[in-house]
Amino acid sequence: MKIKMNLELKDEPGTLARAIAPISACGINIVYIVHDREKKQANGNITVQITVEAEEEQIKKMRHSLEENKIRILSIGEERLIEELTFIMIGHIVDTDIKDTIGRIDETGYAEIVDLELKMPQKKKESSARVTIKAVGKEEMKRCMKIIGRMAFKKGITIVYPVEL
Amino acid sequence: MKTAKISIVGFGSIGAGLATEIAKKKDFLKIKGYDLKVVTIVDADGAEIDEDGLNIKSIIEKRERGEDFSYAKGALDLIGEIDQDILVECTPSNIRNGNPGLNHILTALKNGVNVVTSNKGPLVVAYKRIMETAKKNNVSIGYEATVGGAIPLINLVKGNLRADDIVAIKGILNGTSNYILTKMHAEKRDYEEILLEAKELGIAETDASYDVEGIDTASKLVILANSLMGMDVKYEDVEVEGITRITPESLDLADELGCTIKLIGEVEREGKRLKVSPKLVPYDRPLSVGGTLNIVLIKTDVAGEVTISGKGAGPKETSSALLSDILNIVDERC
Repeated sequence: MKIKMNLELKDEPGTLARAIAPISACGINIVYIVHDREKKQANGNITVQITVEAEEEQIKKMRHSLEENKIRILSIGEERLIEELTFIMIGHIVDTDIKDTIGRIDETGYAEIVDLELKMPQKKKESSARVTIKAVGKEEMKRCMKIIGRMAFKKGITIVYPVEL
Repeated sequence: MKTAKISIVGFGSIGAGLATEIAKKKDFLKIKGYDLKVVTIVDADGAEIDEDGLNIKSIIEKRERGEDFSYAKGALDLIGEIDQDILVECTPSNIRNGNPGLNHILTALKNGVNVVTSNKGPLVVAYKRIMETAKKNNVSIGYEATVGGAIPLINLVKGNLRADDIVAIKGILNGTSNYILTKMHAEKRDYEEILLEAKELGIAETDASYDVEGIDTASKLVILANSLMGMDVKYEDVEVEGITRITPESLDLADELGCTIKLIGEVEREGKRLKVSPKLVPYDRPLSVGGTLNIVLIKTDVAGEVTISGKGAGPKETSSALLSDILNIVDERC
């Protein structure tokens, strides 16, 4: 399962590495880190958001290990893909490697392609696909749309998004 | 009775359509207190002139017989020469430099003649210059017919919604592309087939690129942004994608979602965002109108969302918008 946590760290060199080490030591895969040094807490400490892929036992071990290293966990919980977007792609989708397109979204760590339907015309014309993406939040979905936009431009694919109402 | 002398520049389908409506509605307009006299009709190959009012029916019949105009004069010659209150500019649109329409409009305004136009090109290229020239010369310019055909969009915003701040406008502003998408969806046929059929039916022009590539919609967005939203934008500021790549399969995929695909023009003041692109529109939303219909959704700070729909093109429908501007000017100036 995917877990998102917020850790409180001192704003000093090397603290992020010290926080990551116990997580990696538990064999946990880190998928996503947001490290914004500009946003400080009242005590001058910073918050780092880390999303990991782990089993329940590994999470227990990680929590214990972080506490031992005096790293405060501000919040921890299962990451949910709450934002959903469905759009249509038109172009030489198969020829331009659809696996690569899916891969680029899935490897972000904050979004997944949850549904894909491809329709190929009988004649040798451009094909169409309907894609549904789920992401952890609005900002992450915007980032996905940027990735898709760049990919579509490079591969000559037209994207039909829903009208914003 | 308020009397106005009118010149029609450009005697194609729009100009001839307007002249016909003025002649047909002569008695109706008189009951309402207006006496409109068409004193000149000018096209690229000559002019008809009668300061007491032309006989429209006989001119149209003459043109149908392929006969030439009676006078070898151009629009610019007649502006200073013939006494006229309103010049109606209906020449074909040119969004590169606005001419010949821009030249006609500026010359008329500088000569103290009010202008009504259906020609987008001059307003896309030189909106600010046209407005400043009209103000400086204390004359009016009406351009309701440039956007949305018969839909009273510009006058609605400038009149009834004048206390509102327009923050966004979006909608279907091109009837030809809407017709093509509606037909493709209903009949599951290719874009090329439907385009050909639309050309045969006279719904699409022989060169339909302005319509299907989104150029026409983008031009209208520029006019709306500059005139109704206080923006200062050019055609180049619009991100444009047309409908030429839409496939029957993509419409099928949209249908399974309860949606159709429409060519939507959108302008948002925040972020100066102007975009024309095919979009997924749910069937249960007003923006899913079919056929050649146009629809515009206006988002304001006070009224919220106001949606208005109607026929977006055609000589008769465009005449409704031209006549509305003509009568507004007659009320104000004549």
